[in-house]
Amino acid sequence: MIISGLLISCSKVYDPHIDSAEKVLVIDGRITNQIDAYHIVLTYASQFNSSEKNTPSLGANVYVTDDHGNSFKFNERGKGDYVSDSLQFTGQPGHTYRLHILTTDGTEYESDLQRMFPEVSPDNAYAKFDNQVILNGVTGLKVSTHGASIFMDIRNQSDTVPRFRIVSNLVLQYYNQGNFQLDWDHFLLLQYYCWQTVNINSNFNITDEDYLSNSASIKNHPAGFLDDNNNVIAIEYYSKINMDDTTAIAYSGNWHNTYLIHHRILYLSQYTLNRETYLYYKSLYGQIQSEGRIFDPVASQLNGNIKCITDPEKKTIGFFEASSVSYSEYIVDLRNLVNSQPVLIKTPCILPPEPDGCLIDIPGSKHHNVPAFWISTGNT
Amino acid sequence: MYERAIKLGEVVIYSERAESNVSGTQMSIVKIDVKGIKELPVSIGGKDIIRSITLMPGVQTIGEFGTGFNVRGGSADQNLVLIEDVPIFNLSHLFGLISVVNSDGVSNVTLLKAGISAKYGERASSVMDIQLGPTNPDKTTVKGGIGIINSSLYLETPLVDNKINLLIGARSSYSNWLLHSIPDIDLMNSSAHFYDADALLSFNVNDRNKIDLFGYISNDRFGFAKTTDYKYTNLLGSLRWKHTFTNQFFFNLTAGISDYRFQVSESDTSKLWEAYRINSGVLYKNTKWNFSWLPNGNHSIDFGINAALYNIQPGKLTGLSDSTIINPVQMLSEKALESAIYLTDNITLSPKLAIDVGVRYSLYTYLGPNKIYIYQPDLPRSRGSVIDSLMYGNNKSICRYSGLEPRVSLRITLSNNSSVKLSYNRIHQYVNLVSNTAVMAPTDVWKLSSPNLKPLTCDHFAVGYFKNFKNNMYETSLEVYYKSLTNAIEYKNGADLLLNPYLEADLTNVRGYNYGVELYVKKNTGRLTGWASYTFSRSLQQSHGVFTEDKINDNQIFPSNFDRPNNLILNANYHISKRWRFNGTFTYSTGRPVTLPELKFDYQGYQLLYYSDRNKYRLPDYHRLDVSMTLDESLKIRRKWKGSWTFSIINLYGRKNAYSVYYQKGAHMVSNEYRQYDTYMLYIIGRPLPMLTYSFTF
Repeated sequence: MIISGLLISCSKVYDPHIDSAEKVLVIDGRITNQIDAYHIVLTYASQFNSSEKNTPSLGANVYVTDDHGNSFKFNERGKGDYVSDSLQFTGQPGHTYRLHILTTDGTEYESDLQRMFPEVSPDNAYAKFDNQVILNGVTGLKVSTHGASIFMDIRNQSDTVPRFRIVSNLVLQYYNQGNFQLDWDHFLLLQYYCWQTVNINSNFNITDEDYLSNSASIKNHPAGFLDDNNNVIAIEYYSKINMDDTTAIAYSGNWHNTYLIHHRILYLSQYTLNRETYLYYKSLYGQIQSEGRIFDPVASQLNGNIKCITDPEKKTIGFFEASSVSYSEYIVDLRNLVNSQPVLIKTPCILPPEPDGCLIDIPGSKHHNVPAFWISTGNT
Repeated sequence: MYERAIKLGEVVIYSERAESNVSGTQMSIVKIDVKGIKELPVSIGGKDIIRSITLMPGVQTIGEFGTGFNVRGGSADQNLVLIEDVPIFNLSHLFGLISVVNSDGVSNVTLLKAGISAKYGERASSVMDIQLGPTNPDKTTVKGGIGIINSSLYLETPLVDNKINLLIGARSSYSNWLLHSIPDIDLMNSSAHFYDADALLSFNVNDRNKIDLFGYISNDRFGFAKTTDYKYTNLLGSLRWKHTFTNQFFFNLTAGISDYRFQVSESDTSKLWEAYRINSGVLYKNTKWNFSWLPNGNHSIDFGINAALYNIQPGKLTGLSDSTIINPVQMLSEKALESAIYLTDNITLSPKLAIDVGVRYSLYTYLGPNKIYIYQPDLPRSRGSVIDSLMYGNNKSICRYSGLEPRVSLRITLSNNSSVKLSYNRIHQYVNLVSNTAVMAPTDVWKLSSPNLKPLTCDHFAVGYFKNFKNNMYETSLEVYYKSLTNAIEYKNGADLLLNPYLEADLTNVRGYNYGVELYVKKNTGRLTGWASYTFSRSLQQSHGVFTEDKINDNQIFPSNFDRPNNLILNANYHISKRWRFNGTFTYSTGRPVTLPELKFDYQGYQLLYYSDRNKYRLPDYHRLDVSMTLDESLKIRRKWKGSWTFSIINLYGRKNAYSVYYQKGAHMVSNEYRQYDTYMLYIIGRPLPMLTYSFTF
């Protein structure tokens, strides 16, 4: 008979000697066909086993050129964020673009040429009740959560091979009310219109490659999962009143509070990618998908499209992307079901001015301050 | 009166004749017979032939896990492992902790690392030939063992006036506890079970004719992380007819089949619409007709023909419920016929010179039905660069590869107890196991050579000096080898191997450069027996891609996964008394290459990692000491029941040998807040593992 009383296996934190002291520039940049300020973010990567945060690359000269010989400057806005002028520069499908960077140490970088493909809108989006194990953002624990999975159908609308990336942002609308004391007897009733945006994809969401093989419509492409909690833990906002014109400005504190969700608005951003961009996102997806499990593929390098001109041997990380984008907006109704499933109601797309924010309206005053995208009717 | 089997002076692993390591033409050979098997070092599942083979110079594994073994820097799929002349496609129970070969019933095992005879082909690096046979054909014997993970039972018996011999054996496991002790959260929530059984029926029809009928089945079931269920089965069978024309001329005609099936299913009951099953498999059928002619004692000629038909099902995906959202995928199966003719002539020209020269011609035909993609020549191969496809009907020849495979082995005797041997062989390999994981994984895919995937060619040169001392009490050898691999397969960065109809586009051809020196000293007789071996070897690769996607490490030479330059093995058997014997085995090798993250960076709200060049770093060196003490209950020859107790400790000093390095991410918030990373080492046997095993025979 067998006697064995000891566990045989274990794992422990390992701190391997990594010999990469090189200062490596990371480029995170994208231009689209939408009238918008585009961002090129320049930072330096930090060593894997260091506790340092990534440092921004300041004072760089950043510009984008196109195939018509135009050059568009990106101005530094701080923290390595370089921003284009939306009045001067809008990406045009069919054109090619190249990013140029000159850092303060005289190092020059350049991207490969990037062709922008025409935008394509989704045919249809719908939701199904679902259970998923997700990480609780507050406790950090994995919990089984009931909610709705979002799916999309996309039809190829061109004769080129279509490649898409989907960003699914869920805007949670919530109300708050407060009184502002004018004097002993008079109060102003303040109506807070607040919102919080969450990305409901836990990874980069690119369309399946099987779609590419036959260029036919893709069905049931998953576009994220949202829970069906009635409440959201969100930022608490405070008011600052301008008595001259009876307007109020909201500012956020450090506190969070629990609020009843008034509406869920789903914004689907569908980026049409060129081949190089698609492959880069596929690599990113693979890395994030890998959870370090025993059967996960051996990790591999991410090859970007930026090269150092002054020193071709110099390592560079990141990607400059030129992708057209199509936005669509849906109200998610988890209460009024059709065929026992939640409903997505398509509405004209108005994007929130910021991912998270709050506007304060004073009922009765002559200045109404309700967000343009706000859905007032009903409760979903 | 006592059994001779444990008489002092028995060898552990030895050649047919004491001096045959010097006098034989064959070099780079490892042979284990029944007596050798009895004294093999104890491994986790008991005596394990394949695990023991990895203690020989030039043979390694990637760790305690990992299917198969690596010979002189070759990958595991480059080994032709034959059981009764039929190849087996998955050698592992429990992901390699235990091999699928049950040592009960095995009569001898031969591993050829170089100078491979023209009789063998199909795989580039080595041939392991496992033959079954009775220990004593004239009497009934029952053997059994109760081990820490599995138990076994075996019967051999003569039937019908000794005209028929039957061997039958089986093993079954109870290994869940082992998985639960491995600190991988998924493995802790897993369960595993395996069994295997084999049988051999030998029918001596008359003096000139003998028929062997062999059957084998192994089955593994592995429930991974509660929701994913893996099953795989090896089914082998062969029928062999040996006909003797004269004592000098006879043939063996063999027909065999090897059916390997793999299934993975995921059926989380809360999401039935996402439940799926993937089936894949390899069906291999072969015939071999080998003629042997022995004109005289110094001359033997073998010639014959082989044909092997491969049928590979790369994958079939199906949903498991009526409400499924899984789009079914049926990958096109692959079919090919590999045939060969060969002639080999082994002649002793003089007492000083013997030569074994042979040639094999292999012809490979890739057959329909299949769909072949045409890629745009000025772009890297990918789904997007497909410009056309061609459909082929059933059994239609799609493409052919062929080639001559010369084989030469030369022995020059220097004295009665020393010789020099040289060998060269070329082998073409038309089937590959494609993997981008460190261990056997569900995503591993068998792939045949095709118009878009050229066959592997291996050229192997070896030279060795062999010398015995003190009337063959000591054997020594020094072997040097160089092995060149052309069109070896590596996966591209970010390769997608599972259910990928464009798999060849995610693979790239590399050149392999393997070379090394193997030193071996063995003591055959005396109270103390055993061996010591030291190997210095390199296993390097180089891509030659034109496009960025096809380049690995920018086309610079890089170490393969099996590159472990220094390897030292010390094995000692000490016969303390007639009934007590001690065994100790020490293993040391350089840590295997790994790819590690070097940098972290932010991109679109995600924290990501930048990895080093492929295999730039190494795991810490591996070393381990295993010891065992065996007590034979009774040695009296008249006593029928003979039992033996083996107490062993695997990893005596509790070395935490890293099997793999992985990183784990901290909480990933839905709102894409940053993750934290920690790097971990996984140890499979991180502490001393005591085991007590009882074996019996009657």
